Amino acid sequence: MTSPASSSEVKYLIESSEGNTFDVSGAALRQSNTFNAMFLNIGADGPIPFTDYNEATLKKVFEYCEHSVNEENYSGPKHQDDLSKWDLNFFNEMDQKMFIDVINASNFLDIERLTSYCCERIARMLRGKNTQEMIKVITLPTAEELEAKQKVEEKKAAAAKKVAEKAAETAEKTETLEELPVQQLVQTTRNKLTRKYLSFSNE
Amino acid sequence: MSFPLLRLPVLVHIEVFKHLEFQEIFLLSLCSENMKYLVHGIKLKPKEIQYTLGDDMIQVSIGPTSKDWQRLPMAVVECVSFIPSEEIITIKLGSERIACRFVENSSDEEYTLIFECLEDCLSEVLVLLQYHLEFLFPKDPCVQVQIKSVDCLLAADVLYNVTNTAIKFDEFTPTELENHLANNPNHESINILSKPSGRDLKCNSKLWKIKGLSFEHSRTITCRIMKYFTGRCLILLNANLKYSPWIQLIQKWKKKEAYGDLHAVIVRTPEDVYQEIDSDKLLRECNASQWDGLRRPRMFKFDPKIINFSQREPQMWDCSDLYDIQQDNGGKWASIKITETEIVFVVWD
Repeated sequence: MTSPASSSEVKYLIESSEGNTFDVSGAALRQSNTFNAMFLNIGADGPIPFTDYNEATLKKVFEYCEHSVNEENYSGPKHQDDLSKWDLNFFNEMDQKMFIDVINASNFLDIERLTSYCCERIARMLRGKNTQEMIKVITLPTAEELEAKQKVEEKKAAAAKKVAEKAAETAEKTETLEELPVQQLVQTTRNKLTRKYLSFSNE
Repeated sequence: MSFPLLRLPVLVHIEVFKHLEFQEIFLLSLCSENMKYLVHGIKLKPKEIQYTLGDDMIQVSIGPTSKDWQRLPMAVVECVSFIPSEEIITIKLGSERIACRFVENSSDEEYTLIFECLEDCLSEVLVLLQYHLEFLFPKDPCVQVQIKSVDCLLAADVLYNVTNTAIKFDEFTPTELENHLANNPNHESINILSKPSGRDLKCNSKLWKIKGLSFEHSRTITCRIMKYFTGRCLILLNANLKYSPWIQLIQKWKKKEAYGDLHAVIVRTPEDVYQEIDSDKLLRECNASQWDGLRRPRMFKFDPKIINFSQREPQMWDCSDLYDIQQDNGGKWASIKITETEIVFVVWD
């Protein structure tokens, strides 16, 4: 961590899940309530580990923070229509996976503005849709799919039961087969011993 | 873009829900059992849930919430006898799967979608709907019903915990209301927006014991209502105003013979109050005196707690011009206002 005289110029090193480090300005990092609670007062010795998130995600999150450093203080959720062109581009550039990662990281870092905008974006995906359409958006299985899945599972369970029953039957048979020679052996031995005994007694 | 909402942390769910309307939250809760549990877990806390029952139609509105005093639309459910087979979907409402479809509601800007259920019986859908909504709002919001027909009044009896009813149909007879009150004994307010016939309003009616009572057209039965009412707040509109019920009400309150829980009585008339009532005489007979600036506060917090009257924030009334009346032997103070169109009588706590 470097610490020049002016606090606004302070840079912090952030460590990602890959072990890579990159620096973020103190002003940007202070938008994270998690950072404020954990490091602002006690200071960070060496890179700050945010190792649950990859470098690309963290860079994206802090890109937003760096951009919004000079914006007025956050005052509650805003409608998507109030977002600037830069904000819209920022969100539009992300694919689904990156978007989810950014929400999770933003939620962990407790960056209110970014979390709220991300959530507004999710809400926007749901707005004006009926239940059927919502199911598609939030990638839930439909009732029919659930039923079909249940049927497949039932079939699988029935098949597994049959296999288990067959296996049990086979095991029983094997046991009898295995038992037979032993019994025969015992019987033969008994017969032999009887015969021997008889021959001895005759002698 | 599709989105695995359920895989996100709960705090994100809460934040997403802040951006959604109650209508969207309701539709989301129908998506799956997991989504229903998610909405339940968010612990939304509306104070009231209102079912408006029309012919084969249930309209649900919610409010007020901690952040909004307005009542907000939540759902329109219609019972239909036919849905084209290719449009039928099955959705779990309450405890049962029902065949239904969603159609856009072009006639109402507030309620954007109609949830059509392939069911003949309104009361069956009503039971399932209440079961579903009770689960979504675990903090037991107060249940209100607005009824638009006699059939709906009968159907409303399947709802439980109803504490407030508004009646909005013309063929209304008090006998049906008595049955409704008998089925829902915990009523706190009744608002009768239709024109009742006074013949069946007996002196021992359960109606008089309701805390909040309002008649949109009290007309000729005004005297009768004022005489028998024993609740907290009485609002009579389009009333036929007479002198005797007013003096009787005030005298009984003064002598502590009746109206012990009174908060306010408001009687409005389309006629000129001064033609019917000699205000000076009434004030003189009640020993009313002008406010001295000390004996009571200046502002009165009017909180009627009557269905459809309490959806706004409690109003603060400036009572500096009102005349004051005290109960005998140094009891409570009340204030009275007589204008051309209304008489207002409020009791100070």
